[in-house]
Amino acid sequence: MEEELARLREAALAEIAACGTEAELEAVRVRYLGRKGSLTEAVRGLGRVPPAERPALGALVNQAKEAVEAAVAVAGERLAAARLAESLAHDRIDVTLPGRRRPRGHAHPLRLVEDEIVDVFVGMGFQVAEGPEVEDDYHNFAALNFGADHPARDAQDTLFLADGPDLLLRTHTSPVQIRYMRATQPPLRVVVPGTVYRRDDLDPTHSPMFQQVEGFMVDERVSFADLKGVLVHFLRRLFGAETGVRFRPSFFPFTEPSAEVDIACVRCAAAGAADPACRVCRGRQWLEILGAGMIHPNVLRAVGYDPETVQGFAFGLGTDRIAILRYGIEDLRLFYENDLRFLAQFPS
Amino acid sequence: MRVPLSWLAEFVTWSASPQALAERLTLAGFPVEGLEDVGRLDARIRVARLIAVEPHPHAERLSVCRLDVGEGAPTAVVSGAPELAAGQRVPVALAGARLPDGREMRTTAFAGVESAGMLCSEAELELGDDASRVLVLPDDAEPGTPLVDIAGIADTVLELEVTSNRGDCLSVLGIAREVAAASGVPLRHPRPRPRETGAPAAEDVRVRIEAPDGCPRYCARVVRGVTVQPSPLWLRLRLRRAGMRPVNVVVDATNHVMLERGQPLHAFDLERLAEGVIVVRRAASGERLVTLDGTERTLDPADLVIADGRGPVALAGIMGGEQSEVTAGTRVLLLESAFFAPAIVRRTARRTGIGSEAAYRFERRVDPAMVPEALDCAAALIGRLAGGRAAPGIVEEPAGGWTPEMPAIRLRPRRVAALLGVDMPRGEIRRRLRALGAECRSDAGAFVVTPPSHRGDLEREEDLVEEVARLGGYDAIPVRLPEMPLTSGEDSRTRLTARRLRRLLIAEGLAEMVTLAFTDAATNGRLPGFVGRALAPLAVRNPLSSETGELRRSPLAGLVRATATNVALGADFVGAFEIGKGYGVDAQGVRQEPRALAAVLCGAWPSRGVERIGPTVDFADLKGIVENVLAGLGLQEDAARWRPIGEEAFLHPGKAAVIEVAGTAIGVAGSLHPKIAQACDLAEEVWVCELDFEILADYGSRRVELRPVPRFPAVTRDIAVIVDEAFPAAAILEEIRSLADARIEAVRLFDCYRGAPVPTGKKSLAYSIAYRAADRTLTDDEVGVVHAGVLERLRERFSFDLRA
Repeated sequence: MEEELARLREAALAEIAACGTEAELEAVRVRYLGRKGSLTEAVRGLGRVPPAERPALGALVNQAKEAVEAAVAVAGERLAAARLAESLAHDRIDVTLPGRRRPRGHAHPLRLVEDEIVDVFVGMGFQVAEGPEVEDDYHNFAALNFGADHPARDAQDTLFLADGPDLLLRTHTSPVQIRYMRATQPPLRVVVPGTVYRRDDLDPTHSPMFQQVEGFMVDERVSFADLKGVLVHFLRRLFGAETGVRFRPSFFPFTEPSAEVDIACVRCAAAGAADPACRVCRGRQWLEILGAGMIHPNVLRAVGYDPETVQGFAFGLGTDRIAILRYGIEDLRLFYENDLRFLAQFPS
Repeated sequence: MRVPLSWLAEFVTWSASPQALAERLTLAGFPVEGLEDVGRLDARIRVARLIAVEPHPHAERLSVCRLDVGEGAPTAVVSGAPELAAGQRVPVALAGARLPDGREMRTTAFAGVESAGMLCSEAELELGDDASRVLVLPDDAEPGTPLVDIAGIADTVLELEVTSNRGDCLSVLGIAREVAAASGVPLRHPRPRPRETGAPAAEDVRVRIEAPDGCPRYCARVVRGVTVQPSPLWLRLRLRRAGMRPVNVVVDATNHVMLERGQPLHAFDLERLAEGVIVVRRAASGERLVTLDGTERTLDPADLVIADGRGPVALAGIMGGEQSEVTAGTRVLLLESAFFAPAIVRRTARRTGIGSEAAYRFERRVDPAMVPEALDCAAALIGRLAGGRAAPGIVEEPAGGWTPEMPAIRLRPRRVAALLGVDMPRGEIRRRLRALGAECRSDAGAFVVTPPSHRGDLEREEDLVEEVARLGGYDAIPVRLPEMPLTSGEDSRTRLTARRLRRLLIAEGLAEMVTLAFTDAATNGRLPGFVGRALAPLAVRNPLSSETGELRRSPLAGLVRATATNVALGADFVGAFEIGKGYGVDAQGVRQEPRALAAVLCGAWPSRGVERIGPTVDFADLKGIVENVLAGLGLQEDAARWRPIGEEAFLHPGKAAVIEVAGTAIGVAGSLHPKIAQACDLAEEVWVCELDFEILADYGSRRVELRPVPRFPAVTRDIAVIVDEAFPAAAILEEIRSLADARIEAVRLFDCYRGAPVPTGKKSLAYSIAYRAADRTLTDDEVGVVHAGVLERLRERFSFDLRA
């Protein structure tokens, strides 16, 4: 029995040492230590040994088994290390192959810019309101203090609908001023993004449909100085903290006093010097960016407010124009033709 | 509006560069669009006196001119120009001179005769249009003087924008008033008067106003003995530079006065006016008039006309008639100066499409006080330039004239402070109002302000507040953030939903589009979409083209069109969406603008790695996108039912679905009807969907309800069935779910197979069912019991070959 044990042990160790792969090692392990392995059988055989010899023989069997197990473990580590070394030495992938991508989507530039504009005003406590695009003469013109024969009411400029003499596609977002103020008492701060229409063909500088953002604020003491504060803050958030802003007198039927607001040319400012041939400002150094003013007393009366007790300002700007400046776009049609090669250049 | 600075300088003196002046006017509300230097001629273009003009010895059509150019010895120049005569002063470009078009002059020989330069036409000097003859200069021009040094040749033209409320600034005088007020310098306002001789004008002309609402003031002057000829150079230059074409000295003189003082005038040939009568009245229906542009116009009773003893001779304030036009033979003039009502002129100008300089000014209101003054200026100028003798007196109706009552406006200094947000001393307010020419007196702490007659736009207190602010410059008003209670701003629910949907769809690889709301009637009829399916189309009454003839019922109208455009441009893949409106009228006659989410898929996916191109898009791609969007809004995975659509106008009847949630249709998805695809020049299959935005917005605003994360393992069992091709795969899923056993966690179809050994016309579907209990590990036995129940239910309901 002892000799037999020694022979098994020697044979096992020799076979283990000879193993070249982990599969071979596993086969050897099963042959000696598996359920029906020789050493396992030997342990079972202890039962047939006289009790007096059992402790000594048992110790020998265990020694043999442990020795073989240890050898398997050592060989296993050796073989795993060899396999890893082999893998590290030879396995190679081409990391320059293209990645496997799903197509990337894109937001429309007009929506990106609209969100940006609205977010600045929401940050200043403005509520967002919207209104219908099919409007009537009252909300689009009359209530906004357009005279009965104001040129803007002309069929040259406005798209009318066949459904009624009075129906039109709103030419600005200002009708929402009327709708909102009629339904709400001051104080209020409101910003209105929306689609508006004019009777123009689509060309590099005109579109029958474009986007505006309207804003207004009404309280007991909101003044022109406040209007300047809000708009300067807004424009600097949008175009940079150093952006030059100026206010010029202008004329709109629904505001008095009225102002046109310019920003210093973004391209000239980026270049650090005025360029007389600048294609953005055409050498003027300033860019018209929005119209504004104190809400006309006739408008306040039209919504049922008393101009002696409340006052406020309103402004309107063209989202398309801001997007044009923002992205250096020179052709308005790009926004509405939706060429994917154009859209794909915007972030997701 | 174009203002030559030399002209402006006659009325006001400013101490600033043209650029600084432009800036000042811009900040006063008159944005300067351009500053144009004109007449900056090369100093080697000189005044020459023709000493002698002799025929060229060898060339029949040429002359040899001997010139005095102020340099002692005469200079010889060869010219082919006609009408040259000794004694004339003409411009000569000497060798070395550069003409405005860039040509440089050289000494050249013409058929053997050396020419030291070239005699120039006004066209060559860019001083006029006439290229047929040499420009003849005034007799007092000193030979040898560079042309650029002659007064009126070199100038700078200010091009500025005048807002529609400021008709008073459509003149040199008006702009001068603004410069004076903004700079704090005095205005010069000369009022020339003609020398009057002969019989009083009233003997030749009678004026009758039958429409005082349209013409509250009419003045006429008679000028006799005029010689109608071309205007002198200075006048032609001024008109051209102000943007008008010179005609003849009479017309040019009236235009000069209009450009200078803002009051349009009209000159009639008095001898061609029947009976010497002027009647201002409404036109009779169907009356005809041939206007100066040679067009015969049928008049409308809303039109205001000037008539003589026979009939209409002018469209009041818009254009004169051909029949009484001033011509070369005209000897006696009737000069008209009037105030025509802005609204009436505007209506007729719009109706007839005539956009004259006169109409432009009358539409914006002229200054009633200027009416007789302009007449005097014109008569004086014509007297000076055309030899005319003004008949004594202005014939005026109503007699004694008419000046509108300018409203006295109360201006409270506290109102100025309240609106502008800055306190302004009373003295400063008064100073600014007076600088505008307004009368201003104090009354009980306020001012009572009467605007000057040319400022018809000043009607109420706010208008005066603007003037006070404007004169100080808006830059002087502080920039201040409003003081208000701190409240949170809020984006609208619609926009928040749209932003959320946008993120979800972009994550699915789609590009957002914004398409025009217009479409043509045929497309709109074919493509009702989902949210607009029950709406009648809205037509545009005055579209620019039939392509914009109607408002679309579905955003798909724009998306499909954009798809066709992109395919035509070579796109292999179009994946796009729009969150937009449909427009129409519902069954109750109410206009609706329902919002929709629409998407389109077409072509093959872009390659996703090493492959030439990705798989062709199909219904499953579209459905997957919609399912992800719904899940992204928080909808339960199995909440939406996709039902075959059957007959549907704009979708393929066999390849489209209605999407239902809790029994309500929320949208449709499928293959665009081949007929529509064809009509849009789309050869490929186009997958589209449209969902009701408002319903999606509802899902999006629901609260999230969390389920506990499972703590015990799941057991899965698979089943496979062979069914007819037409059998809907979801039927089995729904049947199993309807058992509502809490231990059935999920059922999923994982294989759909056609082909051997499955018989033709059949398909094999394989499902995997996950069983799990929330509170324990399920035993094999328990799973077996539940699974057997599932099988039994399926066998009960369906007669198919079930292999568990």
